[in-house]
Amino acid sequence: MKRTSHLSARATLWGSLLIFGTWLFAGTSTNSPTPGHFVDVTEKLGIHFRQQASPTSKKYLLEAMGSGVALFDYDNDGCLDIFFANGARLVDPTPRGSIPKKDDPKFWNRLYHQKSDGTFEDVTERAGLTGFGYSTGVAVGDYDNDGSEDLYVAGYGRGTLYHNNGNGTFTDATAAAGVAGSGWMTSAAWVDYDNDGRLDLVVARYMQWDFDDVFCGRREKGGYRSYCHPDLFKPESLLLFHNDGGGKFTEVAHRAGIDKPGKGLGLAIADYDHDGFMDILLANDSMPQYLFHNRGNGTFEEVALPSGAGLDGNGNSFAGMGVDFEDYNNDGWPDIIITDLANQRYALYTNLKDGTFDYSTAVSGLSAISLLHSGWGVRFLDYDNDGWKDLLIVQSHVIDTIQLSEPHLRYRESPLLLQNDKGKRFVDVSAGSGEVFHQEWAARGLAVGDINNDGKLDAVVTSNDGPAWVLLNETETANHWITLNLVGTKSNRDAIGAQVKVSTLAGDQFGTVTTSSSYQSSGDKRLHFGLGTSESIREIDIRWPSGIRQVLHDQKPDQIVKITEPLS
Amino acid sequence: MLLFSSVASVAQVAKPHADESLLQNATQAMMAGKLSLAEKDLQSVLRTAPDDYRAIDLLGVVRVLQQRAPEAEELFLRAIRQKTDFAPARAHLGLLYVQNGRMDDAIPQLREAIQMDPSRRDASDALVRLLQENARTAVESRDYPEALPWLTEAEKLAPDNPQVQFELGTVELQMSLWEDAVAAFQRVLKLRADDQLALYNLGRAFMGLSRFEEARQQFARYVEAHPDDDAGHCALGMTLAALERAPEARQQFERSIVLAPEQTESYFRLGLLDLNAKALDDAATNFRQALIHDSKHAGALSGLGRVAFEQKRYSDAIDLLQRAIVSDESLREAHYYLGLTLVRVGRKEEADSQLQIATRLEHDEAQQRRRVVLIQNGRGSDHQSSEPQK
Repeated sequence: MKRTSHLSARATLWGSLLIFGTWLFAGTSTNSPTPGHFVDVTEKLGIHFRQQASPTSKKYLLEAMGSGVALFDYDNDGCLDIFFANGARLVDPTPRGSIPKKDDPKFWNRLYHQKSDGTFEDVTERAGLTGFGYSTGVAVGDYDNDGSEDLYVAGYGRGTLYHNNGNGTFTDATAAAGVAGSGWMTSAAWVDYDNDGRLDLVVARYMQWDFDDVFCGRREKGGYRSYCHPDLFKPESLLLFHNDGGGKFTEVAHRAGIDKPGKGLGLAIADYDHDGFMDILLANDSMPQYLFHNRGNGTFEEVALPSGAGLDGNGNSFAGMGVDFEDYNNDGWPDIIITDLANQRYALYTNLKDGTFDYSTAVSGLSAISLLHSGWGVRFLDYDNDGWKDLLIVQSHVIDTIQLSEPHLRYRESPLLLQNDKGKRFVDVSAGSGEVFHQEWAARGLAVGDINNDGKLDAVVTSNDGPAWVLLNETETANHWITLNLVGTKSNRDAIGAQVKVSTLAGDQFGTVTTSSSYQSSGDKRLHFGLGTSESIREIDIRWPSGIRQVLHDQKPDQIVKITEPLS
Repeated sequence: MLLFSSVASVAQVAKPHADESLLQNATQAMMAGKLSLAEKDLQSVLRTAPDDYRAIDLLGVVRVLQQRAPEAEELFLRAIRQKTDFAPARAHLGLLYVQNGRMDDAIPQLREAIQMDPSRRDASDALVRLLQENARTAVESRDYPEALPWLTEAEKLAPDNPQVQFELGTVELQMSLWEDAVAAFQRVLKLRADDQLALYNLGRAFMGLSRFEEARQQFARYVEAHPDDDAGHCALGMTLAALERAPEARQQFERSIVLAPEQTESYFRLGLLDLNAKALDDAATNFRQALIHDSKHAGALSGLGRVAFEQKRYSDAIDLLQRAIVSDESLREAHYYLGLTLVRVGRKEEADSQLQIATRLEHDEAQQRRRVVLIQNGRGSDHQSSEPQK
């Protein structure tokens, strides 16, 4: 593999820009670890969602994997709304070949609209989003560039594309678009992989699985039935739907060379080699992770192993579940975090800027922190606005009987909040960051966004067969921030894939516009940057997916700024 | 062995019946060593009742004591033909086969005897010894799957025999049947609280289950009882390292080295700690120390290769990692890093080959783990397919 050949002229441009940046965003805030303060406001805001996993005596694996959540502004009122994916009824036993049904309102997916007073109302029926089948993941993207966010809801057996009509309602556009898919779909991501200005759709699939009566667990006296290990099932390739325009898509995974069978759970996108094309990271369960390098000609090459991001530092595979693909050390190059199961340690891969990654779990402190934890949804987020992206991870083991076989582990776990110590290591600040970090949840999905537009990133968490939580970030800090809401014109309207550098006197930070990461979830597309004590922003440098470069100067902090792509 | 157990068992079977007094007399005579007198009484019974299986069996015992094995065997077989569910004859025949070294013939007879009469200690004890011997033979040739069923059967017959439990646990440990090994060594420690080797092995089994804290507790107890045991300190260090308690782990490895400076393992483990912390020079020093004592230590060669990889000394890394693979071609980590190194020097095809080997080895290990789970779940080794069992 000729790694250097991936670097285009535009990458060189970025490289030269970086030379002038202060590579370490140092001295911006306090040095001692600052706990966050996240408050559970679920009830207060009027959210009453409960994910229905439909547990059965057969322990179908589907019922263990949970459903995701999306934070997006569906009605363009400037406030984030919440969409929850939900399960469906599983009969016990469920016949092989069945597609479960949402035959009761408790199984409906739910859309909560944020009202002007900050509370939420359930508008599911009015919006036409009750859903079909057993829903898993959700991805937000304006696929037709009409200015209203559309939804793709992945599921077991079929996915559903909801076109946003712009009047508070959605229309099922699945059949016309040709994106129903098949098999067990998990996470989905909107990405304009060929930079044609239209968002394409990537859908991860878990594995070849059906409602077979497979016994796993212990049979002897005092034994118990448990969820089966994915090793028992064959892998399945992901789906890539190319957006042909006019509301039509074509499935091109094979043609694009992205159909390598995996056991995909988490999806994230970033341009890890700065060649101007978005790459795709797939978190695989119990096999090597996949990094699909975008060759820029409509095809991909899977390069995780040779790049060093396929296995852990000892060459072991792990149960990849949630994923994020952001630059945690402010060097301008996207890094990778993948959550997995206890005793495997969350995998942190630092981008070495030459197309390869360093497994940094131990040296970053993540190894010790995550040893006994199992993580699902994960996001880099700067909770204290100090200019360094921290980590929020929601946790739970996948096997609800885990304590019977491994007494030192727990099924339900507290979430983790890890502060980023200047890109060097992560420090666990969970204990002092609010009561929610002392509660044990069977958490699965996690979406991050600024729900109340106060400049601090909030979170929504889903659990398996349990409630959801809305966590408002009330961390006390005088640090400054800026949130950028990019609107594409030549590029896709969501500006997904736009790469942004924010420079202050303290240094540079980088972000990529995306709605897709974490686990089966979709986050606020607006880019948020903590600015530490910096009271001015020297420069905002945007590289749009179209290739257009835009530089803004002297923006004021502590505001949400809408930036529209220039014509050239 | 056979003499006393047989005579005792004769006493057990000679219950009042027809010709009761003669049978009892014969039994007593036998126990007193008066074999001629015993034979006379038994012949007397058989003259009036030629098919009396008890007399035939007792006469067989007399023949054993007279060291007339072929006749004894014929008599036991005759008694069994007369009454197939007569446990004493089965037991005596089995014991005779043991005495004559016909182990394969002995086992079914003893099993039958115990099935018919579970209280027969002579048969049970003999069978347990036989099963243990078979298992030890299999262990000597490292055929642990062969040894396991022998010891499992022995354990059922002698649940309170700590040596059987220990040997079973040891085989389970070798087969990575961690949960079963934990249970076996815990039973040993209930029966023999001061069994330090069982304590050590219990720690190893907990390590296999990744139950590091419980492993640490066992090794800590072991080290407390054996403060000068270098292996104990090293094992404790490994659990502490697994628990991400690197400074304490380092202390244990260093203590182990003080106790046994010629060793390799603790140096190797110290090197890994340094490598994780990216203290590359220190890691190299420790790996080199291991190699001083064992120049073919695959782990140390691989570790040193990883150091060279991290330092971007790719030529050195390739050399070291290749040497590691020569020492141990199944060392997945060495293949993996060799692959990563070859990528960086542009040798793509060779890199792909090494990475494929690494993933295949990893896959095989995963399959092995899967087999372990299946065996522990009682599904047996014949259900090892990666397909769902329907």
